[in-house]
Amino acid sequence: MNRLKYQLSIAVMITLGSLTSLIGQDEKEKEDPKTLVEFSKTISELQATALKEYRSAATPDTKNAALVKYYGAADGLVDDILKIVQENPQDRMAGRLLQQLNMSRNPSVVAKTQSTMLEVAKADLKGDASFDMLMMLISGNSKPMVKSEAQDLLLENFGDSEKMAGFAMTMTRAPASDSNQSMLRNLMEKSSHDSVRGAATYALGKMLASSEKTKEEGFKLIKSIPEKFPNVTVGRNNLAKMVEGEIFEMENLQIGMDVPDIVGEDVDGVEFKLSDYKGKVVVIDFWGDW
Amino acid sequence: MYPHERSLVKQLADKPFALIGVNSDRDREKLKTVMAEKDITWRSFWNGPLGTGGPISTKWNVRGWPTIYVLDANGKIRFKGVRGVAMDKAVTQLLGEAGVKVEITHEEEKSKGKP
Repeated sequence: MNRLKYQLSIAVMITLGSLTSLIGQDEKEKEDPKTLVEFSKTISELQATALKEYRSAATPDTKNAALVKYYGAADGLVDDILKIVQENPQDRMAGRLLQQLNMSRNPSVVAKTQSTMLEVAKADLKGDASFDMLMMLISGNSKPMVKSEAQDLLLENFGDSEKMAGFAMTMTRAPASDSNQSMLRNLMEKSSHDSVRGAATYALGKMLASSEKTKEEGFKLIKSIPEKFPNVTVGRNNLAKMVEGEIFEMENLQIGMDVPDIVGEDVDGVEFKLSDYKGKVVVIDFWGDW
Repeated sequence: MYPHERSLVKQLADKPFALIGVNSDRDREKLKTVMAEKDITWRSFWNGPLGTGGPISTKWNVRGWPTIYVLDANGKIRFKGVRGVAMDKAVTQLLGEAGVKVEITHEEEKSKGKP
């Protein structure tokens, strides 16, 4: 009974707090509604303090304590935040605050957050909020069970959405398990969006290239990108342009290959070439003083 | 990083060996000062004012710094990403293949010990 009352009052608060809302100008509520924006401010302040403590920390222990505080800035508000998110998953702040909670070093905060995300995702399986929650669960530090459930839901409900390009890119560094491979292969072959097929080709290529056994196939996939997907952008980058360097590395910089020459200027502006050192054992060190 | 490389370069000064840097500091003048101060005697290509986004590291698809390649005397890439003792081992092996026997030790670092 009490819980229901609380949830109702939260719902009213959100309606009051929402700028876009046309209804709910009712002034009966005496308490100020707490919104995610306010929570976010509180969290930012806590983080700013933690960051200061981190910078002035003298020992590794105090440094670490400051980090824990930084990542756990939303811990104290976890129940309040999750309740609001459940009621109003479309809130623009919701995603950011959930990310914050998901970073916490407190396992019970993370577990609560993830189970709420999964619940919210399941409540409206075709909605935008659902996609965002599932993505967070897949790319975050979720338990394998949660991850695989989120992955299944994502494929089932957004399998042919253009948004899957972003998903494919997060799989670039995922383990080359059979299920991950077949999922990417599926997107690469069946998606009706160029961008999704391109991103899946890239991700599968990277995945396969990371193991000696499947390296050649991975290389082949990545090398096919400039011709097959010349105009695909992922994030803000052109995919074909992005893989240029990787293709050069595959074709010229593998162990056992003749090193390509470098022609350039030294620090004093004098031109020289790597090939000037032929006949010597050479260590090339890409470095910077930072 | 620097002490190890300095020691390596010094020990192998009369051997068929070279350490070649590709430096990605944006400010060339500041870099000259740093090299003088830290006694960085080996030669480096300068990657230009774009720093880590400069032409050489971009072409070579370098994503992390430092990135290391080791070439044998025939100009073949033989090792990647070797640092510290692994770099010493790689260089010793490749000089050996070229008929030059060396033993690399780092007195400076050893004598410091652990705090």
